[in-house]
Amino acid sequence: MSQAARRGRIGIRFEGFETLEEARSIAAAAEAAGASSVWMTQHLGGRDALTLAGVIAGATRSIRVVPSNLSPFIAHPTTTAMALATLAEGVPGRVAASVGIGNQLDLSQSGIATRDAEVAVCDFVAALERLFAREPVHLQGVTFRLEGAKLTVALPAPVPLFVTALQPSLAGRAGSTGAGLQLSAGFFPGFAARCVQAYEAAALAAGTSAAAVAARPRAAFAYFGTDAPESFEGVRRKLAYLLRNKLMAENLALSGLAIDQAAIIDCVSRRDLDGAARRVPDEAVEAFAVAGSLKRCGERAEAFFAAGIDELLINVGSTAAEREAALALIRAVNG
Amino acid sequence: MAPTLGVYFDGFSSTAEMLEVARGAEAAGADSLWFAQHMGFREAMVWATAAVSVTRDIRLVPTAISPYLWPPLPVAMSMATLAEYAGPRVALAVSVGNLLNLSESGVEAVKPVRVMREYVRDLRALWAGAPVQADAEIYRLRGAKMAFGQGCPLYVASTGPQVLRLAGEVGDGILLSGALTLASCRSMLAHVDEGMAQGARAPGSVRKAGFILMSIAEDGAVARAEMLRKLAFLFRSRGHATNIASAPDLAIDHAAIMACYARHDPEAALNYLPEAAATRFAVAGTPGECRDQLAAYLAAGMDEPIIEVTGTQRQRHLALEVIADVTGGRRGA
Repeated sequence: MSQAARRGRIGIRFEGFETLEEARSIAAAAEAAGASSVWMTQHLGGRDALTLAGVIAGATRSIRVVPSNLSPFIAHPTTTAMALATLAEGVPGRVAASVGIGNQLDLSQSGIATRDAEVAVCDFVAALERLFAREPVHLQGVTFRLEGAKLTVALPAPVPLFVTALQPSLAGRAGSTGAGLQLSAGFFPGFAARCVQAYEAAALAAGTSAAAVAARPRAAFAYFGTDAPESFEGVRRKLAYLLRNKLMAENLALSGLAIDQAAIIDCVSRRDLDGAARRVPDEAVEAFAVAGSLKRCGERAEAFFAAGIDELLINVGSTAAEREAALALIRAVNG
Repeated sequence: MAPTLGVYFDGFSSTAEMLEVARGAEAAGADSLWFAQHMGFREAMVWATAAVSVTRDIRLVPTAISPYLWPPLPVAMSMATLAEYAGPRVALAVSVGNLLNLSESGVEAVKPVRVMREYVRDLRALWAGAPVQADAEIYRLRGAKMAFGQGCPLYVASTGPQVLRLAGEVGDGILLSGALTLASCRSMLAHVDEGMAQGARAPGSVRKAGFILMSIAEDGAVARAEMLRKLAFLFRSRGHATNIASAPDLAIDHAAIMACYARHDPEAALNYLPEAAATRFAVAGTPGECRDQLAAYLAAGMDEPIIEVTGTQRQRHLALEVIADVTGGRRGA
């Protein structure tokens, strides 16, 4: 099912470290260029994704806003449902959200251990779906207990939910919920395809029809850069930091590239990001990101679409040249 | 100098109505907008963010954020994001929260005084920007750190003596709930003063704010009848016992009201509230009567009385007119 190329579109994502002035300006420009949606990732210590979604919604006209990677380990389903419903009431039909485990290091700094993390994510999604139905909810989750909590605010339009997955195992669990799939950044398209396959197989096994499974949304984050040396190097450094995560081992192996992940982990643990970046070859930047010339970036986007992804979400970059290139890619792909 | 007056939203009206009232309140001269969080209704941070785009410089205060449902780091992030968007006109009010609603979300409000003290301390520590270490009653911080932004004034909302003393000791301001008699307000503010003395706070260094229920109509009897319904709903809570006892001449049978709500019969609860309750626990009546009653609350020692602007479009218009009268004129008119 996922082997056939899907009609893919490109949206943008913020990581919460851009100033609001930058974010508003970029979002408005991306909307004008035809971007499909704006995602804002929750990074602990950065700008709050739900508040940022409200700011971006006010700076744009019709583009969808998606607070993402909302973690069950630090958010409560009742308050999250309230926030999403309130946001949706203000901009009907323009709100979605994704739920993910969250960054384990960041969570540990808030004294939180992520036990039964994949189950916790699915519990949280189930709670949100039931709260959105506006009935009193009784549900025991890994991270919460609802004993009659009820959302009174009516959703003016559905708020689609996604699960943020870093592994095929969580993608598979996501398939058994009603949620869409959203993959983290730094994936090789072949690894993205494996996650999509796990997602689809679980959805089918849960009794969802093939047509319904095919219609479910699948999004993926990707780092974006141009062929300018400093931009390409910037992507390399981001990847080096990302690839320190041991959960990326299967992703690395599938690429077939000779990358010494242990050495990267060692460098990052010594805060030697330069050393880690030196261990990420050019081929890896091209394989795990959307970087290079406009033509090359378009080809990489198509590779993700062929893997079963229907929305690719790129960070727009930190320089004017990168932003122009990102907008050009959006225009070229989205038409 | 004309007194200040704020407007609060309880989250029960639509977003469109909130935005209309926010715009009108600023134009009428209101000083602040308070977005009260009620579980299951509109979320305070999102509403405050939405209000930024329809106002210019009025203060925005997400209200009654509970440490039992919102860990300190996400709240610090939300408020710093809001402050970056709105500028220095934001503040935050924290409170224990409604015990019944907390229990429906599986939360028990343990050790509230300690929890509130730790919450205020750690929000400020996070906003200071350094990594924060804390072994608090309901959370741990192990180097959590804000990557941007700044903090805002913190109000502590309560009606209980211990938390009110704490509010006077550590808060930038305190916030009293609505539906209080003048006697209750004075009594509660005395607890705040005790806390201020305990914390060696300078006079005037802690802002004293309070919600005041208001029902307004050209026909005063209509306004008072509407207010009785609101009061009956609020008095379903055992927490109002002392407040109700502060008006002994009204002989309100609090137990009977609670019993009516326990058997889901709110209409019957109205039988236990005399019309006079509408103006003893709240402001209700014609525009002129409301102005006079508000003056009494202002004289009770509140720095920041905060009223509601609800009802029909005509009633909301009348309420905004009262704001303009009390504050001495319209801003930006």
